Amino acid sequence: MLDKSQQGLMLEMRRKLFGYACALSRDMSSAEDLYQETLLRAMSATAAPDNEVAYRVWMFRIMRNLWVDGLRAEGRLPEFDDSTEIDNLSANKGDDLVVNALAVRQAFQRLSKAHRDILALVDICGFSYADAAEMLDVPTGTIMSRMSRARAALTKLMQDEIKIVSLPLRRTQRKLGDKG
Amino acid sequence: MRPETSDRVLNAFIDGELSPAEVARISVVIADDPTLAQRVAHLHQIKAAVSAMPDDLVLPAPPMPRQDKKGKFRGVRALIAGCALLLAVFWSAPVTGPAYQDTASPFIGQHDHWVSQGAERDGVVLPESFDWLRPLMHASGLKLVHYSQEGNLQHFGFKGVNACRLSLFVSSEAAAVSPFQLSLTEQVQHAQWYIGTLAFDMIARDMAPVRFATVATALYHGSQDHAADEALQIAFLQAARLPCTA
Repeated sequence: MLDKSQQGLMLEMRRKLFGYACALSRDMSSAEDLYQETLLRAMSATAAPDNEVAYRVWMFRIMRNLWVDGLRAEGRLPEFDDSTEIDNLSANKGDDLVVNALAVRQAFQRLSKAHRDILALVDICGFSYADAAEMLDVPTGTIMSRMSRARAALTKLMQDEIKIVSLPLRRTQRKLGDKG
Repeated sequence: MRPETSDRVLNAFIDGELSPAEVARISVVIADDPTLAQRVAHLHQIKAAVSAMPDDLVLPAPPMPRQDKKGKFRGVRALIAGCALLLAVFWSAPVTGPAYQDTASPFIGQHDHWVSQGAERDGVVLPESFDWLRPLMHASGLKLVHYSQEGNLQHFGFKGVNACRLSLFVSSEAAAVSPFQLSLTEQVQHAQWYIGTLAFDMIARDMAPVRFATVATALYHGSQDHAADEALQIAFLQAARLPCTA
């Protein structure tokens, strides 16, 4: 049973937990189920870490294990490709473009499960590379490479969709405003 | 020697995973390499967009606790306890800042003095010659709350929404010319550059090194050419907002 401090932490992190659930799941209904089941598992646990950082890792690990268990049951486990050279992925980096948040969201949903997992752990859940490495049981250097590959894959998807838009320059806006 | 700027390193840079010394080295390279700066800005934007994805989500109702005959009202009690804890977290006292540490820069003492005095007010007006600062600092999430001038030294004090305080000191009649320089530790962040007869010193404490470096790089470019790459610098700054730890 969680003590008061742990319940408070759970309240604080619930948005990130649900965000992680949405990142892992392809539809909202599955995400809600994963989120609810994670909270129930945590609340009914007989023991939980006292340390705040360890407690966060523990909560997200419950969710990730539930997700992995579900995929394993369906024979669809995520696979990381740690062998691809990163430089090969970054030939066109979209450096000259200002990205559109909606395009990022759409491209994110089309990423592989493995890429969504690592991006969500670092960018949505806010874990350090060291924490993510502990959770995935891989070296920190591997997390560094996976983050690079995942962002390169996200950029490539956005370019494929041609949904990256350039924001107008402020000076252009001012000029148009002056004329208007 | 030029530091490594591979994709792996740049991603670690924007994720705040490099040491302050590495952040400083890479920031100096970025300041002089527009292509690399665009690459980093692009990564910042991707990270900011992914990080913001949960903001729009409507949280589902909390799960119903599994009840037994002896614990009929356990769920209600847990909910009340949760609300009380949430209020306790909301009303908890702020954490005090780190103790003052003297360093080589004479401006750190002035920055600390300004912060400790709490000399802040709304509606501080920028001198016209520094109007170029306005869009950049607005994009960085830092608001001008202090301006003073003593002799040749001007002090601009900026405040973030939480604990962030940043000072920009501008002195005239600078005799030396040096490249953009950064000194970043976990506790104190300092950037220095010269443009013509003006010397710029930027100081903060407990600011995420990558955020400080981003703001410093944007101001460095802004002070060189007030109109250059303004839209890019603004996107860059908006993406690099990180809370201060003090």
